[in-house]
Amino acid sequence: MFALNAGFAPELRRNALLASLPADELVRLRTILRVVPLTPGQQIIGVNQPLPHLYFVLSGSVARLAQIQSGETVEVGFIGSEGAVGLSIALGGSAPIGLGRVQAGGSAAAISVSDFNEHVRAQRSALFDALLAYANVQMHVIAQLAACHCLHRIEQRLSRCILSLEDHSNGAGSVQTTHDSLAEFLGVHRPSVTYALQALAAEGAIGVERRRLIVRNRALLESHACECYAAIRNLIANHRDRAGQENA
Amino acid sequence: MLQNLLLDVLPEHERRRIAPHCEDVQLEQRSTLYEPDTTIPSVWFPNTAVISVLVHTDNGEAVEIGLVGREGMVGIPLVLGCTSNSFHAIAQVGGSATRIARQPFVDVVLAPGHVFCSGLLKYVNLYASNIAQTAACNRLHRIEQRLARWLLDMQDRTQHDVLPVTHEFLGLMVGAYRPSVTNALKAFEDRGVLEPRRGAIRIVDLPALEREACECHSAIRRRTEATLEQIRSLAA
Repeated sequence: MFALNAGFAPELRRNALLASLPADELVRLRTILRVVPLTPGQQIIGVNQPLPHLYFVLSGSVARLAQIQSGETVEVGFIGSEGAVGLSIALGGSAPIGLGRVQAGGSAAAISVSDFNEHVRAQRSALFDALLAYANVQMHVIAQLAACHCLHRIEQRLSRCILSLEDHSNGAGSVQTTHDSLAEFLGVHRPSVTYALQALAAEGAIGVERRRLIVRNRALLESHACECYAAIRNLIANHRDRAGQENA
Repeated sequence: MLQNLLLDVLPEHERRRIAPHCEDVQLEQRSTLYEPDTTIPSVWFPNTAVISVLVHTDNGEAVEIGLVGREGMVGIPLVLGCTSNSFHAIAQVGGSATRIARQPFVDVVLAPGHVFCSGLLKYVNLYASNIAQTAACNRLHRIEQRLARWLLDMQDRTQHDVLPVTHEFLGLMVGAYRPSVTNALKAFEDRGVLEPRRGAIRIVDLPALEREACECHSAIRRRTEATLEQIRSLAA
């Protein structure tokens, strides 16, 4: 039993929020955290349905989407191992903050609402405060993207989106995605995405394959992206730094 | 007299607990509550004032991400344990508000285990889900729908048919350029839905404006009412 648990904690430490916790707190939590797979396309947070779990991403990534009645969407953040999905549970709210759809496959440590309330909220554990600080980061990310989707051109937004996706794929230099997914992230019709991708490819910034984009010239892609790419990257990097210091 | 609803739903003992830290203030129209990248000095619970929370971009453009009146609170990062932020909060409509300075708010009002603390976190969740909805709305709904939504959001908060807002400011609020806002307003005026006033707009036909608005207005209003009800029941 001990050997099994000892092997489990390092996996949990892949998540920046969990890694920021004192060792004894992580030991206490690992009995109620359940590691679950994240499958690409899987919807882990839906609209108008109760939130069963809060997910700490260990690997892979989740896209947060804001949806209108027609079913159309825009992306309001990609969440990787730096964060958590299902923040409404931490805030005690009833409505989720957008949909959560798995972008890159991986795994997450899940905690149920009742376990969260009993073991984290009621005891005002270090994890609770870490989640509130992270909720502030996410609120800024969502607000930045609200402005971005409204004001910036599609070439800028597409470049920002590809760079963010690549950041969340462990520096693989490529991104698994489709034109349809990108259209859902950017809130535009698919032909606009195809046209903008072709323009970036023609310049040599990216390579376009059937279900994959290859980042060929990152500097060029960054020069096409709006300031929102750097703004959001900095928000997340600062969050990681703070989480790292907590544990130092 | 309009009273802040977040304070209004609190039980009597909780209101007595925070009362010594509350201060009544008057906010002038267009005055700034806090600027981006500065320390937030206090939180505000508007009564008759209505506050716009804006995000600025590098080239000087801005988009409104939140409109806060008597249903809400300004200074959310303080609830989450953070003191700085990148938003700009200005009074869109001048009026009264209850102010609590940062230190007593963080040390006393937010002390764990009290109803107010849990209630404000529920409000933060509402606020964040509204920003996400606005992100989708600004991208996907037509300018006429967004304009109608914004005027209704404002009317909910002021409870007045005459809204003190100019075309230029309206463009900023709904993330559109002034000419398209002017065209959309003109169309509403021609159909007798709105009436221009000096530095203001009057809502003539509220049901017609409601039909023109996207679903975001009623969706956010429903969520707001549900959240206030949940906060009220925390005390029970």
